[in-house]
Amino acid sequence: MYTMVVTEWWDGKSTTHFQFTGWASYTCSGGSGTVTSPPPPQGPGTSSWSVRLVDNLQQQYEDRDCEVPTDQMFVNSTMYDASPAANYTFQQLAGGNVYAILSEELKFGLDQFVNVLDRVPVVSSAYRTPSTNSSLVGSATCSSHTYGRAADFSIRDPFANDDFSCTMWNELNAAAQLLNYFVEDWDDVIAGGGVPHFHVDFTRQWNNPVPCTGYP
Amino acid sequence: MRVVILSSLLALSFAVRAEPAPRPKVKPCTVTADMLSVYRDPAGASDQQWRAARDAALDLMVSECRHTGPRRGSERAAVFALLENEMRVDYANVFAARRKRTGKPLPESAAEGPMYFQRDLSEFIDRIVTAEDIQYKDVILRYGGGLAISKLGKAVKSSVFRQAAEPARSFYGVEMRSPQVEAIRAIGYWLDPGSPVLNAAERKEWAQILATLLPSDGILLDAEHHPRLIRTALEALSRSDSAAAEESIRTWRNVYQNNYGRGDSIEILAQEAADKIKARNRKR
Repeated sequence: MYTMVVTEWWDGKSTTHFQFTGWASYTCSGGSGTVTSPPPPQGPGTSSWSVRLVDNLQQQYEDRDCEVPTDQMFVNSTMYDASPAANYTFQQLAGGNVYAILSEELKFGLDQFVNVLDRVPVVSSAYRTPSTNSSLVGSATCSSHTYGRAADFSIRDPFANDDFSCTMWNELNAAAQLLNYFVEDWDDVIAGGGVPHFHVDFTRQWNNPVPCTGYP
Repeated sequence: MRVVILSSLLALSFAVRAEPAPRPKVKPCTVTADMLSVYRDPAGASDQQWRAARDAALDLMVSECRHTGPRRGSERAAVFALLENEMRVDYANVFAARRKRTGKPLPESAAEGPMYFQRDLSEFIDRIVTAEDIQYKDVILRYGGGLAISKLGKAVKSSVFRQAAEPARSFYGVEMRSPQVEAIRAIGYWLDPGSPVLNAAERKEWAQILATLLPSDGILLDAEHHPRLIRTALEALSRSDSAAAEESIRTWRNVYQNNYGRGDSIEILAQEAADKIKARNRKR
């Protein structure tokens, strides 16, 4: 039987080795000791393992002194599909996670943008775990992205060879003004090595941000 | 008469509206010195230098050579130098220096910059690499995505097998990518029966190996990184034509579903992967 050893990052703090030995078993060692696989679930359909995943995410908030979200704030794709944003799938918003916080404000706000713009702006990133967010060195660990209240829209214009477009940014900003949502200043977006995009927070008020310049 | 004129005017206005706006000209495929200049001293580079470097690289990614990359030797070498240099930047250091220089905290959007840039760069490299880029194999194996690695083909087969079977010693990029996971992804492209890289026996063997990445008890070790690995394995296996792999995925999906219920993104991906293999075999 083949053996495959896979190393993965564990919560941004230590390197963990996932050892897969055939179909038989695996161990996960690293950090402060060895983590063995948890006891088997009690029966079909049990949700104890889902709870464990949410616990794991909640721990990330606690470790970083962020307000710990309640269990009910986390959704998986089935739960999201029961009350989704009309034009965005769970996959598009959840950052590759099995569970994510996708707030009502986010879903409502995204739908509002679509209504006002009469098109579906591309979301580059919405929910990010605290672990992912803190790996974006220098970024706010407990940012609005970690509570599913903010989104970044792409401002690459498919009708202009995918070049960045201030027209798109300014249109998004006009919509944000109408809907009264906070927008990060353009100057801040492109500061240093920033890549042009449109950051909106659906739980804060419009702030008359510095507008986009330098692109068509 | 008036009706005719009005109709003509309306028709004309529709015709004018229907006329598409002229598409802007695609940018020329230009590699400038700005693109690499910041990497000599990333922490010491000014905001203006970073802006110029980013713009030079981002322009190249949407230029005339967006699908092929520059063809001239030195310019092509610069693109792979960009990949290597960018993925090695210690952004904690860069941002600390910036905070010291400006006396201001870093805006969140600016910190997101490297994430978006590295994603764009990785997609660009995935698009442009061909088997001819073998001279850059060390950089591509170390910092390239699975698709780029796979395009190097048979020449890197044994290296990729080794990379897939060995734990990575380090991670790279702000999203903490793993050369091992990218090697697994590359093998996934080779599992496609239309790929000439693996022979039938190797495809069968690697489908079997990758299936062992699905934990037999169907339990995720964490909420983030283990799912990412399982997703990579499922996506890789979905390109296979191995009936045994299809069976393994279906069995695993049942176990996983017993633990986590129906309809989460991994369970759906497992279902899709098994169905893709089945559909491929039905066509043959």
